[in-house]
Formats: sequence, C-alpha cells, structure tokens
Amino acid sequence: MSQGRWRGRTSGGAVLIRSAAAVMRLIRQPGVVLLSPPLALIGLVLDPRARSESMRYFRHLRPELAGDEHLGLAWRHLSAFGRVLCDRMLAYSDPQRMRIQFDVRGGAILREAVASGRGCLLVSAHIGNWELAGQTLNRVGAGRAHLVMIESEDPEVRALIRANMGDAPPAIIDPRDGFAASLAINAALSAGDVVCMLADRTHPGQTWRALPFLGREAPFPIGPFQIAAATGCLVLPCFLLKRQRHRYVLVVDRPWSIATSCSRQSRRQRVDEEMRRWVARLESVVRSHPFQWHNFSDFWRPP
Amino acid sequence: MDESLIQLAHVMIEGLHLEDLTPADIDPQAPLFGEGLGLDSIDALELAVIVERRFGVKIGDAQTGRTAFASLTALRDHIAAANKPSAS
Repeated sequence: MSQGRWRGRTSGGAVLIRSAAAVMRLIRQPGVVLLSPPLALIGLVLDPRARSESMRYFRHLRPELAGDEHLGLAWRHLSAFGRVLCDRMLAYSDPQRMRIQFDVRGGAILREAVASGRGCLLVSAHIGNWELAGQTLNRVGAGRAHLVMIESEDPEVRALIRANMGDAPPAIIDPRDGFAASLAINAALSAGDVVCMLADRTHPGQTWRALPFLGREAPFPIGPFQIAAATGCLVLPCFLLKRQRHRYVLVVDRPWSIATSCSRQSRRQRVDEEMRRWVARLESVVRSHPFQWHNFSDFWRPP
Repeated sequence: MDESLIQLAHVMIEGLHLEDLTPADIDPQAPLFGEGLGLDSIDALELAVIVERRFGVKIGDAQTGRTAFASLTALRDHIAAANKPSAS
C-alpha cells in the first residue's frame, strides 16, 4: 500500500468530463473512429511526455524497428487510447443506452472461485479499459466487488464516476491510507468478496520488486501478492480487452493461491515465484495486444 | 509483562513470522506499527487475519484497527472486550 502521492493519475475535472461526455453523445461511435487518428496526431505533437513514454515502450517491445517506426506505433497507441477514453465517456454520457457490448471469457471460473468463499483477488493491469471492468463484474454475477483505486480529489468527479458504475456499483478502496486499505481489503476477502487491484504500476513509497519485463527489469508492486499470501485468498489474473468497435471481452484466468503457513523467507520466495508468473502473463497479453497497454509512464524506472 | 501479554506476543511472533524477536523484545505499551515495532500495512492485514482466526474477533475498519493495534496491551484489551459475554 502506498503512503506516497501519485502524481501521474488521469487529470480533468467534472466540467471537462461532462463536456467530453456531451460531445460523445453527439458524435457517437462513428465520430470516435473518424476523430481518434487526427486527435492522436495532435496529442503526439502537444504531449511530448506521452509521445516519449509510448516510444520508449515500443523500443522495448519492438527493438528491431527504427525510430520513425516507433513514432508511427506511438501514434497508433495514442489513437487506441483515445478510443478507449471515448468509450468511457460514452459510458458516462448515457450508461442506460450505451451500445458497448461486453463478453466474458472465464465467467464460470470466476463464479466458481467466488462460490468457494475464500475471497478472490483479481489482479489486473492498465490494459484495455479496466475502469469499465468494474461495471462488467456486476454483469458476471461475481458477487460484491471492491476496486482498489485512487479516487479523484474532486468531489464532483468522484460523484460522477460513482454514479455511472452501474446498478450495483463496486465499493472503492483508496490505497493512499495503506493501513485502512489493508484492513478494508482483508474485511472484503474474509467476507468472500471480490477485490480488484492493478499490479502493473508502482507508486512512490510502495514496496516493489524488479522483474524482467519486455527484456529489461521493471518494478512491480508486491502488495497484491503479499495480501494473497497473508489471507489465503484465490488470485485470478483478469483483463478487459477491446475487441471491436463496440465490443469488449473480460478475460478471467484460472485461479491460483499462495501458501500461507511458512517462514518469512520461504513465503518471500513463493511471492517472488507468483509475481514472476503474473509478469509473464502480463507480458504475453501486452505482446498480443500491444496498443491496449496504456501505461504512459517511464515504466522501467524504480519509483 | 503478565502472562496474557506474553501469550499474545507469542501468537503475534509466530503468526507474523517475526523469527528474530522474542516476547521480551516487545514493549507492551509501544505502537505496533510505524515507529514502535515497525510493522507495515501488510502486517496489519496479516495481524487482522490472525486475530480473527485465533480469537474470533474481526477488525474490519481503520478506526477499530488503530485502537486495537495501538500496542500489545491495547490488542489484548480489545480481544478481551470483544469476547466478553454480554450482560443480558
């Protein structure tokens, strides 16, 4: 759990979100498809940080390509990110009539894991549209879900996002107070609920471990896996991937668990092994869907 | 340190795998987290698991946690109060 302040989170107040949502109501999906490439081009010019981080990512992913080819990939990357943001705005603008469709691969696995009563920790990543995944969970019938995420400090934005999380919105656990978050996560898991955590970004003050990712060591948060080792809950990797224009698929992997009763040293080794397993899975998803990993930060630099 | 605190310290050392500590190393009045025993937020989660499984006492929110985990003595008193039969 982090005690540090995360400065890289999504910016934009309630007015911006409402305006974007209003535009989305007007242009709908065809407009998104038409506007994303030119807007991404503008973003490429006006946002040097996003451009350079995206190019850095593609240098790791496709080292055999030249610099201008990485720039082209960065443009496609930003276009894909723009379409995902637009889908989110569509969800905010008209959640009842939203035309985005969700498929689920592994729904039975998740329902069976929830029925075990051990508590389920869904580990996910900044892939596809993870914020919409919270809504999808409600449709899977996966029981009560809790999202571990940093909420906006703007109460209007907070209210807007919560109001558009569906009929049975997931509970939010803010990780900035690590002590409170730990106890809330434990309470949820011990009640047999589902807790979702992102495990592909470290915040200042958070404990992490460097593991090989796309050819070079990168920091990954230890917290989710320590929680699994401490509570004995089931760990299920999951990803919400964009498939087509109107369609997403929630992919839930088979669960695993981490042995709880052993010495600190051997538990550390087990946590390491499970983290490597997670990172390998993440890398395979990133390689299969390179434009859907939206982690625009210097990922390989320790926090 | 009285016997109940020594027993609780043993449970904590064993449960949190604090292999380098003995009950005598734990100041019963010192904070368990932060500057006291130096436990972190994951230890808080693990201690909540131990207290629930061993003593049947849930520590589900931060306010209860801050009170119960203020020190070893506070934790013993919290468990005793939670397990005390009601007067009715």
